[in-house]
Amino acid sequence: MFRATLARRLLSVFLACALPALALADNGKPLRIGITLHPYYSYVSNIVGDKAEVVPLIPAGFNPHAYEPRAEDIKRIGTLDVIVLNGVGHDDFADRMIAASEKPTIATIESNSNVPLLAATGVAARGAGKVVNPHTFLSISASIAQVNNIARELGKLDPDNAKYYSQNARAYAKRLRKLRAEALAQVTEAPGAEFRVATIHAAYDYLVREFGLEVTAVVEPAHGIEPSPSQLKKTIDQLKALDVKVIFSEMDFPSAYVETIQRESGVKIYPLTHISYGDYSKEKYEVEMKRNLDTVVRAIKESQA
Amino acid sequence: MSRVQVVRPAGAGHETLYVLLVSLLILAVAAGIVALRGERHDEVSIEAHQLDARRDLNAAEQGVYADLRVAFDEIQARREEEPQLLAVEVLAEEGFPPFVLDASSASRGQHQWQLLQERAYLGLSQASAVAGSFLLLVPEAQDGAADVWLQRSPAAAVPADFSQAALIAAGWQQIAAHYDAGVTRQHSH
Repeated sequence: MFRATLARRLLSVFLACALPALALADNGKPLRIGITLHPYYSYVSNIVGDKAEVVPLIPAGFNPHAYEPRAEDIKRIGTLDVIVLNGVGHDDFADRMIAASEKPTIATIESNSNVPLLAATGVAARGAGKVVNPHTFLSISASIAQVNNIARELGKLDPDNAKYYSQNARAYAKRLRKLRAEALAQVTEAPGAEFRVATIHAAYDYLVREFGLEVTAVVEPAHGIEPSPSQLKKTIDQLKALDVKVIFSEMDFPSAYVETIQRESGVKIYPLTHISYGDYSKEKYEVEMKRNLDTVVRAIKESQA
Repeated sequence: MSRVQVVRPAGAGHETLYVLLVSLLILAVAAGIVALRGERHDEVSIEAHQLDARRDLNAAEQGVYADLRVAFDEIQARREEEPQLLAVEVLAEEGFPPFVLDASSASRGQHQWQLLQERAYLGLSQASAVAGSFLLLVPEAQDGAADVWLQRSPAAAVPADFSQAALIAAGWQQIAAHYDAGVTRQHSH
């Protein structure tokens, strides 16, 4: 009897000591941060360093434009602490996944909440002008604004590392700024108003704006759909009428009709990347964005030659 | 001998009326359902002295505005270390657009930047047809928000007073940016 009471007491003392330690271990464990798109993997990896884990919501190899949530991807949300969203139209699937997951009230970070957004162009512009262009990640400035925003919000969730996150964000922003400065330094003569550009996919408005340019026309009739011969003819006539000098096409969607446009209209075509394909990596954004910036610089220089 | 037999339509007038009534009924029911269950999406309205960053700015101005807000983040972050505002020259040296001179600034209005009374950054446009002049007011608080004003008149000058009323009287317009998570999303955030 006495022995049983002692044992119970010992057990309760042990539990009283162990429980706070267990709770601490839970709080002290690194954050698991979900991301939806490739650029956000790079942003968050650079912000958190080795202090948190970055988990893509959708596995590499899926096209985020046509992704349909799978059960195992939804299940993974249950293991996350927070999800970083583009939130302005490029990862609409995430809402449905979160709602169906084990953690429907999981914290989310709206990366673009502090970014001045542009209205959508091309076919995406339907919807009474309320649809915004979601490709903010294709601009260095809008990316830095998002990186700062994500670091600030992560700091609120993980106050112990807040300073570390904001320092990393600023160092990353500095590298991104350098990429842009290096590209612009190669453009000795700024392109004038006569340098008109068109794009195949309505994604690159934010990018060309960094060079002080504006997209004059978007060629694609609908995302991923090739134009019919009559649409193609209309497009070519339109490009000629607008006196477009350069078309930025999609590196990841090489297409025969793009060559037809080049042949018929005489407009030069340069491929840009959307940064939405392949493996997730910390460096991916910088590597692919450098290529994009170099392509725009090449287009400007060759038009001046 | 032929006999003419007239076959009258079996109440065509009534049929038309019934079809019309049924269509009206369907319309009324549909309108009722839409009115009762529809969601209102109220436009974010802006004040008379404001410009909408998405709709009212041209491409060059949108670019300068976006860059200015990023530079503002850094200006605020540095105030934690050094209470004085960063000099325009320092911002340019460290490569912060729109302060740095490059091909982009050249095609966006060639703004000439100056720091005013440790309170504001003024960028006077050298080509007001391309982009207006910008004024970035830095709030007292280190976690305050950026307040950006624009003036498209070529006569834009250093404001004597940074109060809202004085700026409006001097022809400045405040840039308002609002965040809407996009109508394509199912849940509003």
